[in-house]
Order: sequence, then C-alpha cells, then structure tokens
Amino acid sequence: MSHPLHRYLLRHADDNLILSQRLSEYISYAPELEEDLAVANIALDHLGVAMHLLEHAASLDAEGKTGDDLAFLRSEREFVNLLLVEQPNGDFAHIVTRQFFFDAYQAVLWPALAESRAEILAGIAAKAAKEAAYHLRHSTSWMIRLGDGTAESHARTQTAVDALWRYVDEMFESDELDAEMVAAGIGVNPTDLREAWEQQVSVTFAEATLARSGDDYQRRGGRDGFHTEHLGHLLGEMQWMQRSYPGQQW
Amino acid sequence: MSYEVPHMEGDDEIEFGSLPEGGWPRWEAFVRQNGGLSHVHSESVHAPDAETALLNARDTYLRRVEGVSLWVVPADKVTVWESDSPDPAPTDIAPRPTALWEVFVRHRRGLTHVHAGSMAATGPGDAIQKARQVYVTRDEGVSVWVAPASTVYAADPADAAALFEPFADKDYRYPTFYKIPDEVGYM
Repeated sequence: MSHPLHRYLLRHADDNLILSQRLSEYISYAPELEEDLAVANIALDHLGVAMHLLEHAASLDAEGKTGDDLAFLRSEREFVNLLLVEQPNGDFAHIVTRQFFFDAYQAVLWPALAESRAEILAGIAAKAAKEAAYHLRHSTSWMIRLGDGTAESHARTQTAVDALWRYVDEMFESDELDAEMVAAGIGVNPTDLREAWEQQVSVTFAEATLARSGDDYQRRGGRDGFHTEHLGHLLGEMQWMQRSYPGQQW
Repeated sequence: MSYEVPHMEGDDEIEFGSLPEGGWPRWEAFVRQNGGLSHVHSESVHAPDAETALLNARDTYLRRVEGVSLWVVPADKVTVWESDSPDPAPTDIAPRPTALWEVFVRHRRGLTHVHAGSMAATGPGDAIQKARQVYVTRDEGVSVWVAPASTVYAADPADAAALFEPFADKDYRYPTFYKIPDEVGYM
C-alpha cells in the first residue's frame, strides 16, 4: 500500500483533474463566447491544482512516477475522484449545478487544508482557496440567474439539482484515510465541511427559488475507485494520446 | 421510484438555451493595472447583468495583464462624443447637477479610453461639455465617454485575492510560454 499522504493527495487531485476534463469538453458550447472563456478559465484553474497535487503525490511515490504518469496511465479503478465531478455535462444548468455543488465544497475545503501541517499541500491549498472563492461566486450567480430566471431555466436547473443531489453525501463522508490524515494534522474531516456547504446551498437556493431534492437516495464509491459508467469514457478520451503514443510530448 | 438520470443523453446532444434577440447586452470593461493610476478601457463583453459582466470581463481581459481593479459599465449608458463629429444639441439643461458622471477620454486615435475623473452634471450633454472643458486640451482625434457613476459596477477591493491573484502564477496565459518548433517559422 502506498504512502497515506500520496493516496490523500490523489483524491483531491482526481476531483480537480476529472472536473477540468469535463469542463474542457464543454468549451465552444457555452451560451456566449464570454461564458466559454469563463468555463475555460475555471477548467484551467482545476487543472493547475490537479497538476500541483499530482506532481507532489508522484514525488512521494517510490516507483519514480511523474505527475503525468498518474494522470494519463492510471486505470479507471485507480481513480479516486468523487462521482459528482465525473457526471456528464448535459445542459448548461447541469454544468452550473455540478460546479456549484463542488465549488461550495472546495470553497471550505481549501481554506481548511491551507492550515495543513503538510507544507506543500498547505501551499497548494492556499492558492486554490482564492480560485475556489471566485468559482463559487461565478456558479452561485448562475444558479440564482437560472433558478430565478425563466420558467424553462428554472425547470432545467431544478432537474439538474434533482439529478445531481445523489452525489452530495459522498463529498462529506469520512473514512479511515481521512481519520488518519486528521490525526496527523495533515487533512480535514470532510464531515466538518458539511455545515458551511449546507448554509451556502440554503441561502443560494432561497434566492434562486430552487428546492432541495426530495429524494434521499445517495451514491458512493468514488473514493474507493468504484465509479459510474461515465468515467471510463472520459478517461478513454483524456488518456488516448499517451496510451497510443507512450511518451509523446508537445 | 426511478433513479434514472434525466437529460444525460450524451456529449453530442448538448442543448442550447434561448438568448434575447441580438444576444446579451454589451458592457464596457475598464481595468486598472498593477502600478497604474487610472482605469483603462479594455474592450467590451456581453452579459445578462452587471455581476456576470464583471466576472466575464475578469476572465476575458485579466488573463494577460496584471489587473488590480475592474469596472464594467452598460454600453447603452455610455454617451459618446468624438471631436470630428458635430456637437450634439444640449437637451439636458437643468438648474443644477443631478448626478455624478464618470469621464473617460481618448486623447488620440489608436489609443484607448482612460478614466479621467468624475464630475457632477445635469445629464449626458452637460457631462460631455464639462468634460471637454476640463479634460480635453485640443480636439483633434479626441473621444470622450461619459456614464452615470451609478451605472458603474466595480469589483470590491475585498475580493481582490479571488479576482486578480489567481492569474499571477499562470505563465501559460502568455503566448511566449509556448515553444514554436523551428520548422513553423514566423507565425
């Protein structure tokens, strides 16, 4: 079994890497050119965080792997991202809702991890916290605009909320690795982040005239490498170049 | 109860929402750079409202400059005067100023509009006239924009870390980050 910090870094790296890939797929489809640039920017922010975390994780790995190896040569079962971030794009309301759920989580995660005793992680987290604050502002304003917009935009956003709600609990589940990282002063307990997240959602939903899903069904498994059927397809596209032309560079 | 995920048919079927005819309204964006004294016009963005305009302008125009402050103004609230166009008849004569106006001056063709200051005026015509008296020394190629200060939506300085700092360490936002193979020659 690899270094616990290595596995912990991979979780947060994979969340950002996979969401970045999903957002990249959407570029050129946004409602206006400006929003395309915003999506591209946010995707690059997530990619930057993923890159730093993966390179740090790779440096802890005894096998001499690189950050790129971890991104492009791991199989689906080795990815430990949340199920939320791998969900397909759907319509713009889906993209905004997925982003809002995740931004509200990272906006409390990164400031907490910025206090980590693991200095490199703390440094990455401090930078990511600023980006997450911006991402949350962007997605929150869109949740309100769409939810409190036209009948159609409201219906689409509520549909997205209902569809993605089942991936919420997973963000706040704590397992042995989390407990170990908390005990070492390195990590945070995801469960502790929930209250702030709920507060953000309540305030935003009230203004957006959106309702929480009435369906309590929850999916889980991403942290253990058990994914929805969508991740494999995403990796097929993301990893194709390195798989087909090993070592290929720009 | 069904757990089927709706609206997830696949990447080929992304649906488009409807836009207002002609698209979103236009907003003029002004950036003050690190070390700069004034807000400088940096093109415009389309957005449904001020908040989105600010965020879109941030994503569009701050990638390649070190911005420290950002304003957006609805383009339809900007009154334009060009030195080579006829003077507009003043239609907004009132006994005393009714609002504060922001003034942006382009001193020569080819330059950009730079924030010159603000002044109280009775309306756009009065604001243009006063701006010409105060900020314009010679008329050739000059262009003046005025907009009510109340229509300027500005980034809160408290949000500077989230809005402006994340770009700082992203070298790849500059074209020089990318190596062009020798065979490509000049692009």
